[in-house]
Amino acid sequence: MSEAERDDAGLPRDELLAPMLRRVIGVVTIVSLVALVLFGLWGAPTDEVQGDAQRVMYLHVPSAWLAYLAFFVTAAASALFLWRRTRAEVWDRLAGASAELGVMFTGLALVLGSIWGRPVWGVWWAWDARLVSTALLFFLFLGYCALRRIPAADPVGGAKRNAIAALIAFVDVPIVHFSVEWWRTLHQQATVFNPQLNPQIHGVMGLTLWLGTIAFTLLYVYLLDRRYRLAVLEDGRADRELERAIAERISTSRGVVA
Amino acid sequence: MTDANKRRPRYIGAAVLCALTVAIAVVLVVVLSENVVYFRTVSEAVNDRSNQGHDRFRLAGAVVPGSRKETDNGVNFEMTDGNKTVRVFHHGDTPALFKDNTPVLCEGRWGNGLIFDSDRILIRHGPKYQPPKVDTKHAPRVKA
Amino acid sequence: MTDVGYVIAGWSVAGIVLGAYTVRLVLRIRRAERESAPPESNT
Repeated sequence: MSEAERDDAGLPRDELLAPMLRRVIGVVTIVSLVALVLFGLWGAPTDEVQGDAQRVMYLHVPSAWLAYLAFFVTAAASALFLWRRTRAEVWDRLAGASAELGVMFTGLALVLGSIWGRPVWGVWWAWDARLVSTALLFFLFLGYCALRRIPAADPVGGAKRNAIAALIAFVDVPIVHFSVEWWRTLHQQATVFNPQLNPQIHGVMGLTLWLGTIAFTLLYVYLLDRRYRLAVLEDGRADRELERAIAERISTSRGVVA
Repeated sequence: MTDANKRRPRYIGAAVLCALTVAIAVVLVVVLSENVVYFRTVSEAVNDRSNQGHDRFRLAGAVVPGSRKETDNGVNFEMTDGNKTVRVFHHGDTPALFKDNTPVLCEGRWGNGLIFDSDRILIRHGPKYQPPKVDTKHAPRVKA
Repeated sequence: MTDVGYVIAGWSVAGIVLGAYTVRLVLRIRRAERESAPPESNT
């Protein structure tokens, strides 16, 4: 890892988003999240069958979609890292940052689904294909995040290992999505991205769902930028500590030899 | 440091991960092999009645309107998938959304004949969401 | 619990998880920035 370019304060310059753009995204994220709360809890009409319990959907579904998106970014960045012509540290860091967010969104989708399932299905959990494959997705990428923490003697070799693991784990994403079509499940079929591509949701409810998706996507972009920044800073710090330790070692060993 | 020393942590990590992956895979295969057929429709279950014995399974259908009768420890109702109908004796609580025409899954086993003994009712719901239809033409008028 | 109770529980859980993650991330970045700036540039 080469010496990164540093700014006046001595911090690495490596950032995903320009600071101005990041601030704009941050503000728009907050505005859209406030709008989501207003529409999700009051603006959208109450569902005919499920009643108010259906309002959990406006968070559950965007969480699940963002989990797909985050893991897709992890897989794409991993592939770009594995391909020799595009191999760069940025892809490795991006993959790690996105996977952590994906794990959070998957966990959120599972917990919110459980809270929605209790009043509507009558149970917190069911061992059907959708729920089990989603839980598997959570643990696969949790394992991937753990794997990233295991240091490798050769950093590039370690990053390649991580990238391969991410691509393997990503296989579960289409399985999760199509599980409700391929197997019989308690979980309902897709409302929006169904095989007929004909959303089965009433106007304002559909609008609220899209609002939730936009708000969560913006939040994801913002958090991805921040998580990437943290990775850069922590790598820089680790590099420095290593350099310092090596320098110390060299000076003491020289002293002994002399 | 020798080359072998440098490489060791990677092998330990990889071994732990492989073991974990295999363990998860085994659990999944066991769980999913029982649940890939998460439920049987009323027709499938009735047609396969003689082979079914007293094994537990989930029965899927809709509540026949007007068939529900409260019993001492639960409810007794008819369930249909449009082709075949069975009577279900359910012991236990019923979910809040358990109403006429509701698509349900009943967990339990065959009793005598075409009677299904259920001890758990799960509500299924479709992917469709909409507000209740308000009859605007015949809406009650508010007098000033 | 009523339907409204589940809705409040769900929205609260989401708010707490997303909020806590964001705040923790920002604090970790601040600490890392403090620690990774070279000592001579600290005032």
